[in-house]
Amino acid sequence: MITDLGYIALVISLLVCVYAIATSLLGARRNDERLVQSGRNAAKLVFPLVLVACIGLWYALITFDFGVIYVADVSSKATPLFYRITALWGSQGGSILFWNLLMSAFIFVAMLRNWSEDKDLLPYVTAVACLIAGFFIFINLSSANPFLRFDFPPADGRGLNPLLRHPGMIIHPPMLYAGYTSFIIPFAFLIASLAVGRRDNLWLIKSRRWTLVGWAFLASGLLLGGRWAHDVLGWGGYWGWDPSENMPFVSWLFATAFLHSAMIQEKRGMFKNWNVLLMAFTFVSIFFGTSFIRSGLLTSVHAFAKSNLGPLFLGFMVLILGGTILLWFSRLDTLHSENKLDSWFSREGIFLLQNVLFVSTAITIFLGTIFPTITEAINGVKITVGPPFYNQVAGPQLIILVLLMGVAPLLAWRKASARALGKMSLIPAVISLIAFVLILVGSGQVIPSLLLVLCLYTFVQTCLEYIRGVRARVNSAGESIPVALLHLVQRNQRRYGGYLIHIGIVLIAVGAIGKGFYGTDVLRNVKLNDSFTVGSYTFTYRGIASVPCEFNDCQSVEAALLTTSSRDGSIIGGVYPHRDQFPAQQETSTIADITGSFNEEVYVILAGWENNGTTASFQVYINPLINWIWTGGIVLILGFLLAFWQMEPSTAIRTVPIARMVGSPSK
Amino acid sequence: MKPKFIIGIGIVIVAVIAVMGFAVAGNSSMEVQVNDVVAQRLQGVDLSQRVLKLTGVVVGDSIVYEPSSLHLEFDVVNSREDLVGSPAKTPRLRVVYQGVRPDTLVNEAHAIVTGKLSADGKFYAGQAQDSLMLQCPTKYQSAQTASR
Repeated sequence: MITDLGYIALVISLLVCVYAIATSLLGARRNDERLVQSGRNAAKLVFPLVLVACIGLWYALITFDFGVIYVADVSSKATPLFYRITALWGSQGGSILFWNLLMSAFIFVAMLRNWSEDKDLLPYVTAVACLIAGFFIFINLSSANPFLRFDFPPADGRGLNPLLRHPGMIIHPPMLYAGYTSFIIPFAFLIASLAVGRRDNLWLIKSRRWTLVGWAFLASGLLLGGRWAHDVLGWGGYWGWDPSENMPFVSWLFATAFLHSAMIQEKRGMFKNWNVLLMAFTFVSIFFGTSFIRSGLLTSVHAFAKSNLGPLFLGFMVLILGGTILLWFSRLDTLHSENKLDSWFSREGIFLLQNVLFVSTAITIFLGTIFPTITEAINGVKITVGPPFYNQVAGPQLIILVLLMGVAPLLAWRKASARALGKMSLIPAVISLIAFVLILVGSGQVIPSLLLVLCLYTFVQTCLEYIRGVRARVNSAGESIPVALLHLVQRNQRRYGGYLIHIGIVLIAVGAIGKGFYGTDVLRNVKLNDSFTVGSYTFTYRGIASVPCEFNDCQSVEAALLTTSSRDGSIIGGVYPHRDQFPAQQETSTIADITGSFNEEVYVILAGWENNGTTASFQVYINPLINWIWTGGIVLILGFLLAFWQMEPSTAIRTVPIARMVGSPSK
Repeated sequence: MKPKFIIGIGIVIVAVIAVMGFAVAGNSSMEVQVNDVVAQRLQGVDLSQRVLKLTGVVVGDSIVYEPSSLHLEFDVVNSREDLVGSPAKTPRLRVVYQGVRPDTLVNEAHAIVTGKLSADGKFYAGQAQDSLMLQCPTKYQSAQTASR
């Protein structure tokens, strides 16, 4: 009953979307405030209706209603309550419903805000947001309906896939979906601004917070997905250049380019057309990625079943992209640049270069991902490119971007001074040079040493931005260092939050370089009480034993290994990798145990055993610096929170006298 | 926009395209299905020189895994329907993989194997970490009849 009510609520939500679009557009056309407000109120109603739909499906999941196909697919009598709740996004239909919940929640919040400053945009924002939300609700009611019932209900369900029972997998999809869906608001603002024909930066300023939120959610989703893959898939890695990873990464790269490029439009009134395109690319790439992954068009480890979603998604995407481009062309006269780019050697110049690199990285990853589809269309043969392609193509571009992060803040607007840049680069350059020699002597590998030093340069340069600011306050206001730091950050949280994000990115880059260049893995088959050595660790196999499983529908076998230092024989501790067997799903889950240090993770998995454990096989991965990735992720989120908090929307465009900017680094 | 910026952007784009070209040439593999490989082999086409990305469905009772040597072999067929029909007549390929048996290697799992076809007719997966992939969690969709 409650489940059926959920379905009915979803049907009504689609009708409400249609009503909101019609009244908003009619209201804008007739300049009728009452109709516009009616559309706005209707848009607010979509969220509670989709919430009722979700409650309906949750109710079915919680009460073991296996008559509902979706419930039988993702849960069973043995599935604990927590996982029955999170099973809402465990498969196609439910995950689109959850997507709709998040999307409608963002629309709800956007509709609640104060629209007095930008009243003319409201009807178009409402119409665009409801058009997109309505499309996804339509998908949920047609091709991916989680409320469908069996003719003859089974006695028990299949149970949630064991691989999905991990905190990272519980949080990763909501994060990624929140990232994806929150871009509906800035995109709606863009379309509204083009539709109205506004010449100012209002859409950009009003949607900045939304863009930053979407960006941070996408980043968190990608990092949590990596962490889940690392912990659960038993492969020691975190990133495999799979289409399901590449597509959100491409959207994230476009969004990052937009966030930087938007700064130039705000400060100098430039890159207006470029920003329109970047927001359109970000949003369309989300659509494209979702349609490709969900429709099974691309061969991915994370593919959903082949479904008929592809043409629907692609058709709607073409409509969105075509509509945006047409609208943009018709408004080219409103998007004239207020200033000209004078020199490559300036803040704007570096931002342009960095933008080109962000976009080229995104496009190369995108082309690599859809390469099989392109080649199939040309000559009927699917040609795939593997991880080495991405490492060779995207790797160099990403490392240049890391370097630019360090250089860009030093350059003045319009035209920078080489002398000033040289002076400010002296300390980081000397530190980097010394570090390069030390790392090279220690590792003997030139390329990773060089890459790590580029990261170090950017790190030092970014830290110096804080140090210079603090020193200036200490000298001018006589504040103590902690107080000066606090006031410095408080005065410009957006800027210093941004720098903190840069530090987070540097840490992630260091982790990726460490794992990619210095990582090793070894497979060993050992007899009971025999030892084997990997790197500076010696492992002695002490046998296997059945242990209680974390879940009530599995059996677990754990191996015990004593770890000692291969240098001095000192005991490091025990390692207990285990394998969980799930009879109902006929699946096994290999769970690694991790030892080592912060800088050198030792990841051990139990690959198999024979004769009740008289011999067993282990795979050991040495992952240097991998923990820097997770630490970098936390720093990145802290930086986001810092930048987000102060971003009070303001339509006032700051103007700085040009004469003061020339040749001096901006403060 | 001044010509120097257009030239600068052009240089970046040309460099990226050049790197892409080299990377594609060195790292590409041809996607094939079991039926394609079997048919081409019967026609005498030599596929042994090309890196192939083979997709197929795992035949559960053909899986042989030796934990001591980490040697894994299994058969793949073209589609799930082939497993239901008359398996004896269905074209199949033997896949050989050296490494830990993936948890998701079960009957009917969708396998993606990157490697080469050997003269002995077996398909040898490469050494790279992603040379044997099995489609994961969200793929499972019910094929049973539904009504509303």
